[in-house]
Amino acid sequence: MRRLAAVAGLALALAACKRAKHDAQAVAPEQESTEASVVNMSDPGAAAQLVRGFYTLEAGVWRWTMKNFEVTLKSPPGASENGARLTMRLTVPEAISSKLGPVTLKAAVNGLALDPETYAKPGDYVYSRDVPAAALKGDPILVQFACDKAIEPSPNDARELALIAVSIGLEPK
Amino acid sequence: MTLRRAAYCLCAPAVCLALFWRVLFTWFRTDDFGLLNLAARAHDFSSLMFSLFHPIAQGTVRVLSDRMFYLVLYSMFGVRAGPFHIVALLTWFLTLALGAEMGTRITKSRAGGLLAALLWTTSPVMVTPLAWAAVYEVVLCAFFGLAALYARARWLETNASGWRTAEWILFLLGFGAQESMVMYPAVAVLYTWAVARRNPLSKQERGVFALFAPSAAFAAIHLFLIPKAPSQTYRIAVDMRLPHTLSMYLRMSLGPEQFAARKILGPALAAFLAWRLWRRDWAALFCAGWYLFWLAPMLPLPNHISDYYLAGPQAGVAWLGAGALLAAWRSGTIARAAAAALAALYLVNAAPEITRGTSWYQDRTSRMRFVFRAMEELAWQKPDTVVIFSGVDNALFQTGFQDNPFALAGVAQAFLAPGSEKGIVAREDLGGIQGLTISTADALKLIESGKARVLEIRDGPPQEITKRYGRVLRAEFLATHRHFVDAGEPLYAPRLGGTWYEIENGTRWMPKHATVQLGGPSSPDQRLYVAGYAPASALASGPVTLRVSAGRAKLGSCAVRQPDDRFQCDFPLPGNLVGEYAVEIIVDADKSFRAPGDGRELGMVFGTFAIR
Repeated sequence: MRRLAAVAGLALALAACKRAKHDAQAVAPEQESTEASVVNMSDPGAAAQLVRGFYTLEAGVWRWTMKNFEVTLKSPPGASENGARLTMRLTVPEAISSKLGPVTLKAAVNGLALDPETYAKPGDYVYSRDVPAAALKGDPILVQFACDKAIEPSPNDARELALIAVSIGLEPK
Repeated sequence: MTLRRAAYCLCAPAVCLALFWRVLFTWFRTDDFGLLNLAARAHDFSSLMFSLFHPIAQGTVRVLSDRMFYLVLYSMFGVRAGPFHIVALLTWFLTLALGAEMGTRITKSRAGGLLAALLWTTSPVMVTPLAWAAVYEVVLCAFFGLAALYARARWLETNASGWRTAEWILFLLGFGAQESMVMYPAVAVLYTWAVARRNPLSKQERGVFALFAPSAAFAAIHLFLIPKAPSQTYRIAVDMRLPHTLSMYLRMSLGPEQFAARKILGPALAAFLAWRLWRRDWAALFCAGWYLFWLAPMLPLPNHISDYYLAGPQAGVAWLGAGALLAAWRSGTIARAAAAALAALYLVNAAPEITRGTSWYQDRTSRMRFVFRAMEELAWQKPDTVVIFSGVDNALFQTGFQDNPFALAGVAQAFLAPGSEKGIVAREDLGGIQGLTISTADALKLIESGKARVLEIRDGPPQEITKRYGRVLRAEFLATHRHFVDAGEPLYAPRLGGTWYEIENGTRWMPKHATVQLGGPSSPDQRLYVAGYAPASALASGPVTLRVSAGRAKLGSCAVRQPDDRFQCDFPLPGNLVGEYAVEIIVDADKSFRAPGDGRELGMVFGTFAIR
């Protein structure tokens, strides 16, 4: 019993001596962000602008998206006066099209809903919409996309899969 | 010690290290954090008693393997996994030595003892017990079980009463390792009869039955007195699933599903066991008995079939396998070649599986280590920091996010970045995901107030992204809160015109003229609601009339008369504003004043603006 008490006492004494650890290398410091108006999935630096809904880069050029996905973009020069054009280069894969049928994609820029577009067949597409100047004030610009369908996660693939994104950007008009 | 003796003793540990070296570089995961938290709570006598004896999970009180193990090593080394794995490996080496000693007695050959130790330590079922500190219990229980049995064997061989005392002490200590120790008396009786060839019912040996008393007492306390958290996982079921559970364990003992050798090794071992029993070699019966007795307490848990429970029972398979190899070796060239081929087949399958398993633990836990060290650093920089993690995937989440490593690292709270919880599968019995999610608005408030920092998970140390993520959340917040502005909330500042003054006590003064941007109404029956506060000083020269417009359209006016009171006005909106992305609301006060010592022109205090 005395030995047990001694071990317990030693453990407590050692526990009392512990302090929070300091290791400056444990957190990579924040870097000044340089947002781009056009995000190419292949650009490793652009990952910071993919807010949510994107999976890892595949084949060095594209990423699967979830049903809902978001990016931040830099407002292109003059956009707050003249507006801009939102462009997304995407692929509707055979696997999605054959399983789910036509897929409708809609987008919103800073909360402004843009007209949706439906893709009935698999293939490469460009979703393109004019964005009025009023929605392009402030930085960054938040662009939210939503598909009406996606392949639900399964035991074989835990991901929710909707589209393949290649690039998203705001181009000056 | 001769060179030969040293080589004999070191052979199995050396093979073990060659196969399992990665476990020394494996970090903590899941239950480890729960046990470390329990150890970290011990600051005085009562909390020490709590840490040592309070039942956790399914009502377990493993004083030595769970509590003292974590308490002592955490106290000495903090949250460092290396010492935990070194202690587990050293315990395992001692267990292997005891396994070899007992194997020598069972196979009646020192080579058989060594072969058994080698077969045991090359089994893939040892990956989890050696790589995951939280299941040290199975290693320690195997150690105490074998040590007690070794003491019994020595007592039976020498009649020295010290060995009998040692058996009792080791047996009782085993209860501090794992509940399976209740089965030791059955193992001891079987050994006495089957291997030592003594009659347990004889006057000299019947003392072995006294071992059942502590087992019965422990089982009664564990089953009836210790409260257990209701859990489907640990629900005891003595039903028709028992044979299925046993067959699952038997298959696991021979290797994982993809283990091609399993289909050959299983029948070969079964045939050898049958042959030895037919030849009345009861030592083979002891091997089977050891396996079944140690495994028996786990068989009524059909929802918690785990390969690490086989760590101790696997010695039975190893002794039987060693006996089979020896018998084949002594039976001529063909049998010898067949035995060598089977042993090679086993090793060719086992080694890659052990590499795969230990690599899995090393990779998974190293990501968690980066996360933990980053939290420690943030807590060191500012205690009680809240951490928001971006980029946590399901694999990382399940490595310990539900086991509260946050308190251990010294951070006040941790959350997943809003929306990133999608795709994460959380265990409901551990509280689900609710405690780790946060809304965009709340996350933004914590970031804006400097209470939270955001870390992005990536390969290597996490990266701080607090400023960048704050900007994203702000944009997201404003995009989704287009029909409301709280002038006293910094988040909405981008929606206010340039004339507004700074925030004071959650409100803002406007001068005579101010503007606010709101999203247009979604239907013609929506109205504009304006709310604020009328200080007595603003109404000193009489009521203030506020004229409100939406762009060029005049909406109406509102007289504020009650000093030191809140006010609210609402106005209809013209139909042409429906669906407009942005509407500029203009407020003009008919009078303003200047307070003594304050050069500002003051009109009225706001408040919120909303279209609904």
